[in-house]
Amino acid sequence: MMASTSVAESAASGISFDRLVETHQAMVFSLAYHFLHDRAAAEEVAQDVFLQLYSHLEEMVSPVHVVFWLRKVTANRSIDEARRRQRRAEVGIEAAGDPASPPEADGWMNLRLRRLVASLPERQRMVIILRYQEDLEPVEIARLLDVSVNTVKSQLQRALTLLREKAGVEKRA
Amino acid sequence: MKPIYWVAPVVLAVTLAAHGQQIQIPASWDQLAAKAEEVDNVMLDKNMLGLAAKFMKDDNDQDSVEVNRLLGKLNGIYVRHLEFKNPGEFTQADVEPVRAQLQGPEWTRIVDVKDKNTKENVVIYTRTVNGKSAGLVILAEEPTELTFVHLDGSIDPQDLDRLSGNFGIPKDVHAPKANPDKQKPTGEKP
Amino acid sequence: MTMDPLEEQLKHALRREQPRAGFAGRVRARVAVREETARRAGWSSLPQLRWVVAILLCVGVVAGVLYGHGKVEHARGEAAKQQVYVALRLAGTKMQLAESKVRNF
Repeated sequence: MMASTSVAESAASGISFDRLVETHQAMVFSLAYHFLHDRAAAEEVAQDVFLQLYSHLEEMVSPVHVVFWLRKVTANRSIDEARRRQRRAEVGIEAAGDPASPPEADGWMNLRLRRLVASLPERQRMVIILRYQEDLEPVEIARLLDVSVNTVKSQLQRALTLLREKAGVEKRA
Repeated sequence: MKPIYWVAPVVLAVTLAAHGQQIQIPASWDQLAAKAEEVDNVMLDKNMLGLAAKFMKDDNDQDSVEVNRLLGKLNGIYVRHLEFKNPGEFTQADVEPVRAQLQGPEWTRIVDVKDKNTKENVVIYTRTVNGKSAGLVILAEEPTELTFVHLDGSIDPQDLDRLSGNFGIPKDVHAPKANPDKQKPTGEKP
Repeated sequence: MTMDPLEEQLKHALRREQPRAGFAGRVRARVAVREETARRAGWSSLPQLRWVVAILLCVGVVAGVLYGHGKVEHARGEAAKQQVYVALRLAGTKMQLAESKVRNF
């Protein structure tokens, strides 16, 4: 039973499922964590994503496809989870900060910025995370989120403007 | 009688005993499982918990230490968890037979929350026998999820507190603080 | 592409992080539970086969004794351990759900 997971392989790439988890766990977890700003919820989403990957392993045609698929499913699941939590009227963003991770030297700024990102409207939030965590260009983000490139660019612009206002950061001239 | 005829009933009895749990899950949940996108089914009796505990000792991290401590108190862990693609796949008729088994004098409903907006219901029951804690049941209904968790054994609020922060278990989950107005079970049969 | 200070800060703040240690093991646990559930569902839908299953279990146990009891027990123990984690994770999630609602009353 346990052995079957390690030999389950992506059909095209021959990479084992276990290896895929180890390779991509940081990406998947971080996408969810930066979106939800809750480690436990992010781990739950990340586990769900990999479980879903396991069910769809045979459909993966290449390593690039796997990465695209993981990003897309993680984004969708994170947004769904955020909506579910919003309907439950869970605790606000401030209290939802992660107490388990103590700030490092420049940690307060990072923590503040992460909280600000977590307070953005959903779509803007996901666009920002895909842009700055994953270094994706707007055209790639558009494909991932099934929206137009112009939509991505305008959401990016609005999000950055909002963040600048809240963070009190001056734009470089 | 030929030996094989003795073996079969004994093995059947063992099998049924292994599957036996205080709370019977209705057969309709098997049909629901066929429709579900994700199904988790955990059935660990005392023997299996003992085996799990042996292997947990090797992990030597704080989580495992606390879980091991809990396992020593339990007689069984039984879980059924179904996740569906769309809402409306299960009805109260599926849940009611489980609730009916939790109406006896040994069971106390300590948390009972119904959210009409999100259509989420969570009920937590504790079992007390001769004044001692004997189990915990969580029954959660969400639009696309149905979850039953039964921790059979002398689990008490301190055990949950020790695990809080891990596995998503929040602090102070033992209900007298969490849900002071809903401790008194309503509508329960004597 | 040159980025302004905010964008640089965002890159730094949103860098990837690892989940809690043992993540891959927890995923494996859930996969194992899923597969076990699917296996059981296959058998339980054919009640007359339960006798066969029961006898095969008996035979399987004997075979385990004869052909490396240690290995069989190791696999069963690991699987049981992972199932415990799955169960506690689910219990925790639903308790958290209840708590979030109680807190908002």
